[in-house]
Amino acid sequence: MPRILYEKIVCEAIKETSKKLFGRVPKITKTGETKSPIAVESFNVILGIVGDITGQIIFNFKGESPRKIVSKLLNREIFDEEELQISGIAEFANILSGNAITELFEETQGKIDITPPSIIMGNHVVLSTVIHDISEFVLEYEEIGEIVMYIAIKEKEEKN
Amino acid sequence: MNVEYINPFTQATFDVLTMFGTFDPKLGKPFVKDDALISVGVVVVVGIIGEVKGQVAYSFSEETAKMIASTMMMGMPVDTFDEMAKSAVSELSNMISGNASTAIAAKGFVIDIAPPTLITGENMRLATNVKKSLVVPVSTTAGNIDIWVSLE
Repeated sequence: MPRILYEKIVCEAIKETSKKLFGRVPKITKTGETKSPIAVESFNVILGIVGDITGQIIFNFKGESPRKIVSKLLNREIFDEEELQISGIAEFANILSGNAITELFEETQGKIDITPPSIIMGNHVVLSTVIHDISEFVLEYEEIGEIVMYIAIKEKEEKN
Repeated sequence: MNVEYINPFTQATFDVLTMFGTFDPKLGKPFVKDDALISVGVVVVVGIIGEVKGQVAYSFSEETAKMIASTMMMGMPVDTFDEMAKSAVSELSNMISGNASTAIAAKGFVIDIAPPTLITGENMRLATNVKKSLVVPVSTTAGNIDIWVSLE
């Protein structure tokens, strides 16, 4: 299956999940192709992809978006509660990946799975992936802000 | 955390590092951490999926990473931690994780690993939704490596 179809499935899963969680669908725009390494801001989630395709989906949460997402999920305003933001964003990523798995499972007869999220925080963070060709998408959420999504996937090479 | 998932990682670390002949790895006493990994410069994260799920993270300083990369590249001097050096260090992490997952699979568990992601940055922390991680400190001639196993 072409990479673009996997990307489309992931984007559709994100839209559906967002609609259920926030009542709104984000505007998702593919902003282009980039190469590893990627320089990102502080709050990032990495999901590993395993199966017929392998690689990573990386979410880079811009500005206040982690706090706003967790506030929406908890239905109350949170401020400097970092631990709560970490666990909330991990849960958000779990829900997104869970729905993406379901969609990918149906399309591939269960030959793709997604690892639990790793959350990376820090300054001047640079991520290097083994797969050098990376698709970049911007997810624009009303009242939340922007999340940049990087998809670095390739079809698994068969071992002889 | 089930020791059946931990021992393969410590054994694979020892075996792979020993294979290169120059690292002289010495495994320290493992300990449990219930908070985020605080990086000392470089972290390589490998996602795990199957009957056991989570992450394994390899944490070391940039100096150690450069020495590992140099050994991986047949002794070629590594002055800057560039993409080629990062690729070599990622490959080492991939080899250890691959060997460990093969050993776990041999015990009858379904397990697979995602490709590694190498991360650098300042004041960097790595958190997962696994509450407790087992950390295995390893001292080598290239410097110290901490292996964080966060599986459930």
